[in-house]
Amino acid sequence: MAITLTENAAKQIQRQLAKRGKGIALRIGVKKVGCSGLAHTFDIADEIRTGDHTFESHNARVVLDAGSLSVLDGSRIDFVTEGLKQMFKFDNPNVESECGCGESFNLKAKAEAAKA
Amino acid sequence: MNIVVSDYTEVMMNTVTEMQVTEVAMQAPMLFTDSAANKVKTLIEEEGNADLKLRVFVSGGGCSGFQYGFTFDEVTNEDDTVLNKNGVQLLIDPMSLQYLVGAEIDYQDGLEGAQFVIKNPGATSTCGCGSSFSA
Repeated sequence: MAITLTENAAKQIQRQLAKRGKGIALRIGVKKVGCSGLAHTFDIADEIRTGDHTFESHNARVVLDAGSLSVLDGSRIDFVTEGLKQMFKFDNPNVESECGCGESFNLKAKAEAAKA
Repeated sequence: MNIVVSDYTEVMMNTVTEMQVTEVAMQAPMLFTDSAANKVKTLIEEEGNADLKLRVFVSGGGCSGFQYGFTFDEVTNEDDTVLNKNGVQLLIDPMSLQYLVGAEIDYQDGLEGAQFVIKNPGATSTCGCGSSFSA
């Protein structure tokens, strides 16, 4: 099981941790939302909880609980500039379809079963 | 074209008549925040093109009826409404303006990313991501 970060994603995490002045990692989660099912959540983690999984790339860390990891496992996370907008972009092998704006997504049947 | 999101999930129904809207539009069409103006300034400096202006527009599409968009434009059209702030300009065409009266154009830079956003009191409902809305 693994989550990887591109250098740009790692830089964004480092920038945000520095801006806040504390925190040890980017916590990524998954919630039900929107027109297509699931969406990512982002928080700064101050602690690693029991059952958490952490991954490090380019000197930045992400932390996920087991449920979120089952949905996002194998993802490569990038931080991209699209036009006038900057955002995290997930290349997630478990995703079947995305909503038009990319805010929400659906899982492939196999990943959905693994989650349940 | 760039789609932007707003934080508004629920907004008040705007009940003003067309005539009143026109009146409001002439007084204070939109709020162009310092944060948004300063970002435009930075982008103009990065591009090295002093003629660039931020254009905000509304088009059909999205799950909720209309979509917002932001783009950089060198050309100011005759019928554009122009807002000046901190030495930069925001352009709005008349068709889009009627949907954006009273809206706030802001730039937010946070954990998840950074983007221009619109907070629109004229929108009666928005889609989950905020990239589309009904008016």
